[in-house]
Amino acid sequence: MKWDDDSFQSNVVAMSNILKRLSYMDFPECTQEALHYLSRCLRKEAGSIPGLGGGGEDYAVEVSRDFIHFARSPKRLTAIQELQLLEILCSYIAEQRETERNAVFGIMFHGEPALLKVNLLTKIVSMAMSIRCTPVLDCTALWMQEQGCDSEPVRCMAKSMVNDYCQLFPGVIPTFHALPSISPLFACNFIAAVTSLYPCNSIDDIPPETLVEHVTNWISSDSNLCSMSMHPPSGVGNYRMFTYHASSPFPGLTNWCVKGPVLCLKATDNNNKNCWGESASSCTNSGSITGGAGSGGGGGGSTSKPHQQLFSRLQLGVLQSLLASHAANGIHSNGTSNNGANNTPTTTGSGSSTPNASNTADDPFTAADLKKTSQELIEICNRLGLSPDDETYLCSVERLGQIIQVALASATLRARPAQLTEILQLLPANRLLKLMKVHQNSYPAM
Amino acid sequence: MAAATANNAEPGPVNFTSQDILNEVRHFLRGTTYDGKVNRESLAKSALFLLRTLPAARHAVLEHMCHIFDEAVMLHVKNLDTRPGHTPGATDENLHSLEPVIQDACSVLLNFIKSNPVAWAPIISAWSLGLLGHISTKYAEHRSLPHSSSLNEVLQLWMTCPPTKTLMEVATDCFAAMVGNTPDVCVDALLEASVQYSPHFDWVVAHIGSCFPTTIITRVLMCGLKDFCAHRNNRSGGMQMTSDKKIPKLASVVGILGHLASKHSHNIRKSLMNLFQDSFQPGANMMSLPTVPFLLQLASMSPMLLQILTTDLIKILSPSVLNKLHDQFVPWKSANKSEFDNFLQLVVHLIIKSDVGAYQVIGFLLDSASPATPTQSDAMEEETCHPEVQQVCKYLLNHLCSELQKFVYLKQDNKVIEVPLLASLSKCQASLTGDYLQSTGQRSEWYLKFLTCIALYGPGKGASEILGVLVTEAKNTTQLTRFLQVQKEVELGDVNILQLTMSHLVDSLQTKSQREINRLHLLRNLLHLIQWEKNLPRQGSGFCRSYLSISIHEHYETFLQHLNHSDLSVCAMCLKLLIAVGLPPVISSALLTKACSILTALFYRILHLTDGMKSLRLIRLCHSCYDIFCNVRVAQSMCVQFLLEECLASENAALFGSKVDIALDWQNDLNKNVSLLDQNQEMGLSLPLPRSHSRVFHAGIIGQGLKPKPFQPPLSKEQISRNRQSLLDVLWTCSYRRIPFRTDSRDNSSLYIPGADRISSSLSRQIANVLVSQLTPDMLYNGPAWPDEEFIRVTVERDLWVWKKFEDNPVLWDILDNFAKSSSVLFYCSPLLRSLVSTLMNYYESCRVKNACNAPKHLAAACKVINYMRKSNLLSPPLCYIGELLPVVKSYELYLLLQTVWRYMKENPPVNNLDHQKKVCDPKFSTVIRSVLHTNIAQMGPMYKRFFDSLPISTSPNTTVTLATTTSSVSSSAPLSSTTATTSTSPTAPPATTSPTSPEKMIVDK
Repeated sequence: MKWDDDSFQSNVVAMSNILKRLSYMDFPECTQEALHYLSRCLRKEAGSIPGLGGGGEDYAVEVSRDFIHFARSPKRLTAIQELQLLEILCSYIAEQRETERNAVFGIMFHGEPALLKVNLLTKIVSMAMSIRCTPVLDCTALWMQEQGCDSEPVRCMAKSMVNDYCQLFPGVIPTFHALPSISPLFACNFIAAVTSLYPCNSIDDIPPETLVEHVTNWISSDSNLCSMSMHPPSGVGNYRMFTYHASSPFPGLTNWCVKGPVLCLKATDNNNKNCWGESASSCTNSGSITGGAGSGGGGGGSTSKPHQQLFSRLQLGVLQSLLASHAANGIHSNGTSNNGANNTPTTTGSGSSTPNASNTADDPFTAADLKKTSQELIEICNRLGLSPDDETYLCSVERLGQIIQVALASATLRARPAQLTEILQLLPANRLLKLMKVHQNSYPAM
Repeated sequence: MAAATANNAEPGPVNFTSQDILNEVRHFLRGTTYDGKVNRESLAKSALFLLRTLPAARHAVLEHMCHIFDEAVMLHVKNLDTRPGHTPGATDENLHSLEPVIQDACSVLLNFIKSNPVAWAPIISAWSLGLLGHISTKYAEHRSLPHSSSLNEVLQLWMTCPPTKTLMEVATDCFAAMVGNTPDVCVDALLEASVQYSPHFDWVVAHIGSCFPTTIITRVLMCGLKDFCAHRNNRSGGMQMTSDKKIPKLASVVGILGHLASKHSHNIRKSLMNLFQDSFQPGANMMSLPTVPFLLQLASMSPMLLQILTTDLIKILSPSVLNKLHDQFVPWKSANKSEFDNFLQLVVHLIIKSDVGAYQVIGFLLDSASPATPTQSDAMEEETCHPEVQQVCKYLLNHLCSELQKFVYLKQDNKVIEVPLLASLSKCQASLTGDYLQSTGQRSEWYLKFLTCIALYGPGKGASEILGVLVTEAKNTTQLTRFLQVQKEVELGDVNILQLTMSHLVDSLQTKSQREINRLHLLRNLLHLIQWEKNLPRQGSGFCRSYLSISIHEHYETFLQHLNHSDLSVCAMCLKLLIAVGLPPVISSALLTKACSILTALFYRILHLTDGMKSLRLIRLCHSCYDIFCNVRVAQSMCVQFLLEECLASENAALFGSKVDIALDWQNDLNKNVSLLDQNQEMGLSLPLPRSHSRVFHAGIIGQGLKPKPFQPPLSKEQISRNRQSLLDVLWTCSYRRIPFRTDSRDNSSLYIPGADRISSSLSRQIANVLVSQLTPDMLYNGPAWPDEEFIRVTVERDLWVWKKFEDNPVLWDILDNFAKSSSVLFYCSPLLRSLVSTLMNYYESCRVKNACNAPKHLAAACKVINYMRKSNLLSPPLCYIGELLPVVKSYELYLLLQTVWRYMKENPPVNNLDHQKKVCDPKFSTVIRSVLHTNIAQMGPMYKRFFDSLPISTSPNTTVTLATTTSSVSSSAPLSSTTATTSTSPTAPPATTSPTSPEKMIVDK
């Protein structure tokens, strides 16, 4: 009500046209009309001289708030009307050209993440995923990057997706399986969001098995998927300058690979509410995990536990992605190779001098991430009462070592020797780690 | 179609593309938003398709299903309405077309639940519960539906409605799926729905609850607890909210438990207790702290739960548990003082409201406030409450007491306030009172307050019962003071309490069969109280209370009856009580008669005792009692009469050494079984003889053998003498009274000697009448005047009768002796004296023994008779002294002396009230004495002076002459007689000739 007074006093004349007109319409029509108006605004702006546009944009924001989100409407939309709204929005966004699409999406969803906005967006994304609406997913990926993959709205959205596609309808919807092919950027950001949603710090934080399966499949099938967010999004920027948080999925995936097995061990022991219990309860507790994991960095050894096997595959995928990322970086930075120990990752990092310098400053890995992971692993093991000799524990340590080593080797990790030493000293002794300690001077540039 | 969609739920994913989905979405939207264009079956089909394939469409499809169900229910309800009119129309068809749709939808939902319960069950359960709530609220007001008051009816109705029944199945399946893993979630949903659709949703809760009683109860409690905690934290963080609206879920928790209580009260009980006990588990967290407040909050909302708490929880609350609770509460209390106080208030409130197990609650509180007595401290060493717990309990008790008092005194203004606690306590007030008696220190103060409240609360009878128990059960004086305390308190509210108590006690005394109370105890306690009361300052000191003695007076008869009690100690106690109380100021003569007769009966019962000391003690009591009774004249005469009558009764006579004549017992004869046949046979054999003189002989009755001799029961001499003495004492006490002025002024004898006891004239007549009527065979010749000497011949049989009475009952002599002092008594008794004298005269006239002392029995009798006559002034000197001569005179002389007495009596007929009249003996009567003295001057020389010292002999010469003649005649005849007595064998011959002559002579002289 208060808002009404203000608006009427300030822009009574200008606003009265469109808002009033729309307010007399019923639901589907008013939204459709509002979308037309948005398109008109964009076209007008595109055609005119920037800065002299004259207020149209402001109404675009208000129109979107009132007739797309229905934030001011006293009557909520019913679920069926909402479905209709989703259908309209998806169709509309799909029809737009890429630049306009991003702009419209920006008007609708960027900015302050209000609850209504996020809820609607979540539903749109879910819908879009089902009906293979790539444009919507691409736009959403940008939105995710704007918000940051570990921000609350994004996590909320991700949780809702996980709930829809991994828990309510596991394996029913083919599109989720094929997500990387529909929108690789979305898939990458989705992985990052999901790994921050399930940080694997306690039994309650374990990701659902289906989700891990999907993620594993995704990164195994496409090694470059994880590096998608590292690259600049194309076709942005001409409508509004977003600040991108290029969040990499690697630290989260490392968490999963390292801490997941330990927690799953406990979860299956307890046979608690987690969905991991179902598949693992039938398995015997005899584990030749180290053998399986150590034999070839995962890749389906002879472990009898399906979920341990799954984590091994995930580990393999992560390692491959790291290598692929290096390769990709190499492409971007004029062919720096990955086989020379003397090559300086620093140069690779700073050398990737793409025009968008804002996001390449972010590395997929930092030493702090790894330190945090190792500390958390130790803490979990202490809490669960695992001895340093425990097979799963050792396996996890070994996996962490592998990731560090591959990251170092692929120059995706930049760490000073002191940092590295610190991490290595935290972890219990291991053949691989010993080797790394011995050879850490062989990365002199760090 | 239904089967098809249901079956391809699983293999579904392969068969569609994204475009299919989009098409279905559009189809569905077309059907739902622009209705009428799409037929119902295909719409339902696309809805189910979307449900299975498009997560985002989930809500929309479920909403669509809501509409379908709603429509179905509406049709069903309409059908119910129209059914009476028999107009099956379009509604039926619609209903039939909807049914498969509903079935399909439900089968899909059930499939979801089955395949992925963890994810789907919460969603579907929330949906189904919401829909159920919506539908039941929407159609609750419909006229064809019963009002929600009768839960069973509502349940019945909805379960016969196919759509709701299906929904209910879905909801139940969800519950079944979730109950194992996440019961909290489902119960939470249920509770929320229950809050939202409050009264109309009850049937759902009831149905689900009865499907999973254990889980639902436990979980409902847990949810309630959680909610309670949350609200509490909110409250403590923010502002104080109004208490009514703070916890909405709690009401529905109580409601649900209420529904389930009828069938699963055992489970509820168990769950509540588990909840409580879980809060003490070592791993208990923040949740455990408010468990007790939560339970109490629940209890405050439902009497049923309160009942469980009061019965079961109290049992668990041992000192150790209390200490644990205390440990839990310490931080809370220090953190939030006011809340803790509120909590305690709630406790008090609940205690007041509790009705079942109230006694246990009070006992528990008392035990906790002041734990076991030191005698048991060894066993309970480790189980004592923390001092602070005790403090809290004390606080609770004090608070409770003051609250109760508030209620009770409010009630005095004719406003009845229901206090369940008091109502319940009044049922077990007897045991409470018993506890009160046993209690010490502060406990007793609390008990006192409780009992006072109970007494004042109840409808009148309670108070008297409490006091009754107190006075009955008190074992010592300190316990007895409890009675006075309670009485004092209760009297403030009920003035008549003492009277009521007494009538209650009397009731219990009178009903023998029901419950034997300790009468002795009760009577003793009453006695103590009366004694205490007597010592009270009668006036002043502002001490105002009703007197027990007055109440006892009102029930005098009952206490009197206890004198008949078989236990003599009871009798004694009662006697003491009656003595202490005294006679009522106003008493009916009937009651008085009863009192006297009962007392007399008791007296004789006591005399039967062989234990000397005991009987003496008791006799003393009787004595005092008689003393009190005899202050009333009617009672006095009755007492004396009863005493005298009873002492001659056959069962008592033996007590005084009397002989019992068994042969006279005709009862024996009658009781014998007489066979008529025998009698007839006897008739044939022998001559039938009637019981007549010819058959009855001295030795017995013919045919019955020798008459048994009268025998004397084997009583020791001491006992007999003791008994006699007792009787005489009592008689003395009863009869010799200080006659008060009032009666005296009316009395003829105006002489009143202060300090001396005397028998009033009316009483003396009474006494004499009794004696005379008891001892004489008939009423003839019972006048006081002595007839002519010759008349002895006529009355010989009667005289012998009297004589025999005296002979058989020696106590009669004592009685006469007792009354001999009173001339009026002996005046009225003169027929007896006459008979005795005449018998003696007859005896001695014809006596063959020479000296009178050779017939000791008769001599003693003669001495006594003369003595009595002397004492009572019937004889004047010197005639009255002849008793001293009798032991040494000859038989015949004795006869002469008696004859003189007779003559004297004839001439000086006895007059009433001779007490202080100086009768002068005519000199002619002293002649015989003189001659006897002369005759036996050797022995009687020293006595002579006594007889004739003061008598002026020389004043009348003719008397001396006559004296001389008589002495001569006597002296002449005396040796004669003495010689004849020794020699002659026939008793009649010489004295018979002489003896009549001399009196004749005297008469002639005269």
